[in-house]
Amino acid sequence: MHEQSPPVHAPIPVGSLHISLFAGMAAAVGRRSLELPWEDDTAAALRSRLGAEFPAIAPLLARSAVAIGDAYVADDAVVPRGSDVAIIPPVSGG
Amino acid sequence: MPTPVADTAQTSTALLLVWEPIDAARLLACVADEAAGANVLFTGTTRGVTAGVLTQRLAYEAHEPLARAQLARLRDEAMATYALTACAISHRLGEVAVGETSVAIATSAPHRREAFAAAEWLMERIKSEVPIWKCEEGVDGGRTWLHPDSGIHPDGGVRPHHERHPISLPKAGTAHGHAASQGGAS
Repeated sequence: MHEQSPPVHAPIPVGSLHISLFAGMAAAVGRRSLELPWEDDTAAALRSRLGAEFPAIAPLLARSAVAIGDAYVADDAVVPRGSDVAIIPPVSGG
Repeated sequence: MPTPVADTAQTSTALLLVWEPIDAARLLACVADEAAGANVLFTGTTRGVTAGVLTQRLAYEAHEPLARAQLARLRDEAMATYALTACAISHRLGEVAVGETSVAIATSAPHRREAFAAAEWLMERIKSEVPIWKCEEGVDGGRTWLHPDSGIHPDGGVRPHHERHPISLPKAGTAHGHAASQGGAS
């Protein structure tokens, strides 16, 4: 069975993260979302992991926050498997 | 094309993320109240020139659920801190042409000082904490997402307000000083 993109309404597989990217980060990676195999680990570890996989965004990741759902989480907070995570680079609204 | 999203429109505490032109007059009308003797409306508009570089238009995107949550948190903090009567905020998403309004804040309070101060405070916080991003599109077709070296701290929290923005009242004509080095709008 080859991997396929899950349908929009499918539950997030246990053992992975769904990661949303925005603005310059999405442009640099060329995607607005990613699925990443994941065991419970911290938000800081997630940033490191993404930086290793996508070196082009490592500098921006170092200045980014992590959000789960509609709340920011601290660097040492555990990001549980199955989470819907967003990487929030420095903002520029207004 | 994303569909317009409007949550609590026409209430005294409207928070809006919109893809259509902002109706600033309507936002101001939202905060009218018999208890309020002061009504302040701030609008941020797209500049055509930033530091000598021509901008054709801006494009905004947001993490919408998080942006709404952050706007609500800031609204609540402003309401309490400045004892506002009402507060409404609208931010444009998608493409915004030069001269159009990208953000509008309306505040009302019994007296003007609090209404002015709250609008300024909200604008500063929105620009550094709410997950909305602008992309500058130059007349040469170049596109640049702006990620200024300020705002959200890598630990996921937000920096104490005083660390980023020493308390000072804007001078006439320079109320948008922060944006001068970031480009774009307000």
